[in-house]
Amino acid sequence: MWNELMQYLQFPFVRYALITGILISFTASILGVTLVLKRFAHIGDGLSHVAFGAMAAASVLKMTNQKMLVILPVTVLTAVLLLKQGRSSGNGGDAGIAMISVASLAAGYLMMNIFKTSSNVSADVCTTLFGSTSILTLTKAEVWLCVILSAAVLAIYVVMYHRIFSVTFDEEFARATGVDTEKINLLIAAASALVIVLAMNLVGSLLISALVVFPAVTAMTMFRSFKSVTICAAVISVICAASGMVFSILKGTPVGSTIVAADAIAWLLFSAVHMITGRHA
Amino acid sequence: MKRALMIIAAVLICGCSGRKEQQTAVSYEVPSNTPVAEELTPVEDMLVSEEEAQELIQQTPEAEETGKPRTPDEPDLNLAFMSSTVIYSEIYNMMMEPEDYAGKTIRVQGLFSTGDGKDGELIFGVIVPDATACCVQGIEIRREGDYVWPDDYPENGEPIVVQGVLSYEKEEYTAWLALENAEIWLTNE
Repeated sequence: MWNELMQYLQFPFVRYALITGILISFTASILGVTLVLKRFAHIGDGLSHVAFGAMAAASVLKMTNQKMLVILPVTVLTAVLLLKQGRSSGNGGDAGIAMISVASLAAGYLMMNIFKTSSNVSADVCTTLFGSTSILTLTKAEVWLCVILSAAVLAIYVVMYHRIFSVTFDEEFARATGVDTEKINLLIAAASALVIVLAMNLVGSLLISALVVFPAVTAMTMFRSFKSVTICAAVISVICAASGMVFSILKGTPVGSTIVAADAIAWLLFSAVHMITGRHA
Repeated sequence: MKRALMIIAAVLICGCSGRKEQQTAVSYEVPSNTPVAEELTPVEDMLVSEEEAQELIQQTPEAEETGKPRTPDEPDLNLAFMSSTVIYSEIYNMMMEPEDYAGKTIRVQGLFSTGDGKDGELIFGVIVPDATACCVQGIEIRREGDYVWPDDYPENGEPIVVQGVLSYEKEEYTAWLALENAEIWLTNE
């Protein structure tokens, strides 16, 4: 098996997939902790469906090669609006997220069928929704874009760590102590949107929530402090993404669902350990 | 030498049987540098005509000495006997950036397929499904010589290995790929 893996690693697209997959899973997991604690775990689904709709619009407008020019601004703007609406409505804004989510998904699929840009629409949609091989078909430009955006998200998180921490746990106290919570929430929304758009390449639109939620929830079964949970979530996410990708490359399984299955197995294992030991670290 | 005589004898017996035999199985040993060669059955059938079988056995100097038929040249890119995820992805990359692969000898594993060309003519191809089997990539197969459909071709959907030189025609967002001077082998996988 090792020799087989070494053979596959000779292909540049396999190396690119592993590098970008690890970066995407890392950034998704560290932002996932904040989103889960702020009870915005389902925003991953909503934003991914909006991104799908934006991608369909880009295809219809013959901007397939520059689709990020459409997808990124639309998704970031939607993230900002959803998070703002969620805070003001008091119930997490889940109704708003659900409405935008299904409307975008339906509109996107409708546009792709009415304004056909390829002969096999179902296949294109299937690949985008489930991420069966999309991480293995990135161009060099897309790889560099993933690297730069992942670095940007990581930089935002590291620089603003203490402020993100305070806004996550007690926004009113943070505001009272002089933290610009509006700006921090805006940054969290923008970073979430960037991560969601990147993660579409890894696991597809329908499975993005797993990448955001599973590592955070798994880490919370074992650790209590914010820093420990964040570090553990990042480690779990990277290991599951790498092992999921390697397994799918070796065995010919869909990449997205294999990674999510690995995340689910990790959660089961951690939950079992927690149940048996009954203790947190 | 013994092997060559046995093959010739088998071919002659089949020819004398009174049946009109268009195809003869000829032993083909998979090159050892194929990624998962150790998991393959050692010998596979190559679909050739009776005349071609005799020709092939005598074609190369090594065949006269060893009695083995001609083995294919080592390709520049060997995608045979790999996971469907990798094969599908690499063919997709070929479609998106065909300039990087044009002129190279490519070996691909997939399913034999027929279809209609741009002018309604019958064309042949190898298709590779992805892991979910909802998406497929395909490459047209173009062979040199007088091959007749369906006698000299596999059946639709039959697993094959095909090797040829990659050419392409650019389309709006992707490319139409073809393997020129292609050779086809049947496979058990």
